[in-house]
Amino acid sequence: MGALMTLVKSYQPSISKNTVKTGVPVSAGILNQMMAGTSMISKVKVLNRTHTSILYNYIGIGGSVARADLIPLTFTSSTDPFYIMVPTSPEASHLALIIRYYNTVITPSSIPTADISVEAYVIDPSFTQIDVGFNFESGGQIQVDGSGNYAFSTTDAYTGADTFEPPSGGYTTQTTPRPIYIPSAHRGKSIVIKIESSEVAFVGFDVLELLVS
Amino acid sequence: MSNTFPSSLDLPNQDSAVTGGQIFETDIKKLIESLNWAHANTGTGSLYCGTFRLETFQTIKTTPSGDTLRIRIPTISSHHVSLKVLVAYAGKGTLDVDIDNGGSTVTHNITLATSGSATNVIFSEFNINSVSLGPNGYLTLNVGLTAVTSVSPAFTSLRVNSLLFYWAPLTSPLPTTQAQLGSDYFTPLAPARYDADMALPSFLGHTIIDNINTLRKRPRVYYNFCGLGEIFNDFDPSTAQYLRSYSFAGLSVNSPSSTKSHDYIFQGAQDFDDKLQVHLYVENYTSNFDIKVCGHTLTITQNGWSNFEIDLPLSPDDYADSLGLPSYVFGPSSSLGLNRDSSISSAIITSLAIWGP
Repeated sequence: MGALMTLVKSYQPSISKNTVKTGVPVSAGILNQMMAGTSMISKVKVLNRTHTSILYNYIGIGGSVARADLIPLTFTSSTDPFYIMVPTSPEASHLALIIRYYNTVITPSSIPTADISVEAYVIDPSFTQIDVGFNFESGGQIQVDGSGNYAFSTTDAYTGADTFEPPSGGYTTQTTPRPIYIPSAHRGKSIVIKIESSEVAFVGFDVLELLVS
Repeated sequence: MSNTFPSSLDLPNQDSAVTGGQIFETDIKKLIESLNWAHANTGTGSLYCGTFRLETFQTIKTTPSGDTLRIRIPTISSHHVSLKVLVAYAGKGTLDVDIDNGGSTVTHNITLATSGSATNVIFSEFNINSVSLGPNGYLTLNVGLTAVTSVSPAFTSLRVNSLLFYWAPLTSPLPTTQAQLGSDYFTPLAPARYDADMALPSFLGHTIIDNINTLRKRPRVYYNFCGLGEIFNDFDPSTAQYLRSYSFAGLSVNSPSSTKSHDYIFQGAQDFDDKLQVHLYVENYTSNFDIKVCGHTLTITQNGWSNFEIDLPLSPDDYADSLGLPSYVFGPSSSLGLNRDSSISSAIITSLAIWGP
């Protein structure tokens, strides 16, 4: 895009075919509208999103098979992380996350250890880390209490949507929460987001590609 | 003169289209290439993504688990017929995918094989090519698992940690045929034909208008949930009984908060009177009941799949300001009519899919 161009975020009004007829001079406004409509679809509508809900095995807590909110007490250990797999569009450079979690802390002394860790990988051509990721920490970006009263109450952890350029060579240690960065060589590929936690568990994740002008 | 597009999007400069100014052939060429690029990529995002904890979507039986997951997905064009399947899994067996286009069903058995424990997850991507799309504009995917090795002598199972379906983007050059979805068409164009100083035919203008309209209406999936059907993840030798995975079977009273999704609907969509398509699957139906989806009341009148069309949501969610685009909440918006049993003896919605432009 040219430096002066404005990113078109809205669907453009319909163009009448009467404006494009043999023998009628082509109006610059019509051509401009065609370009705007094309830009909007190619740059904005193409943005992908992925939502996933988490299914647990509830055996041992009454054999209930219907209720999403009969949530296990256990948190996500590093021995069996969550993996969210998302296709990305070629223009996507950053992914925002909304993580819907619930508190599994049952003693106040465990409150400081609660956290959520996020990393990103590609699987093509091999399983390779592309972003060392970030941490949501207790008392900062996630809020838990020690009451054990966690049922039926979920909270969102959010990376924010500020786009950025990472340091040359990428981050080497995990940062505070921010969108995932997709290096240019991996844009358009399927991304695997690895999520681990202490003292919190999850019901769902949203991953949204961010608009970059 | 093939219907090409560059790997990197190169948009035309709309600031150049000014009254009295020259229309440059480079801008026409970029306009056509950008439309070809958009046709290749728009709508190729996530159709369904499911994540499963240990011993959930997992089988120990060597017979197919059947329709453990029932998934509805939209088709996006007659050119997009390669379905990508990305699986995070452990164990050995097959991922069994029945694709029902409304007229015929084709079964695809995708072989999965790795060694180690059920937490030793690996990732594989597969293509289901030449999918028969049928006439409906949507497909039903019935997904199950079959393990290779049974209980004795080795205790082996197949476990899926995460599962993703999406349409494979097209590659350059595009086919020479028109792409169709319902009554809408996309006509690929050859940029090289307009890469010289020549008259602009009205045919070109009409085709560009049709192409933009078709891409504007192309569906994107906003929400796609399905509960877990019957599957057996373990075996009790003392009773010689298979043990079932007990999981979230369908939408329940707290699903409005626990399953909701967030996605963009772009400004101007309301001006076109765009609609959301809602597809849901019901079990144990005995009498009519109402549910609320995205604020609209829907009346369930039968078992199995039902389809609805509702208006777009009007109120953006709490993330719209931060994201810089209008984003909305999708999914069931009230506990009205949702299951509150612990034994699913009454009606339950086991699958719910929402898509729209």
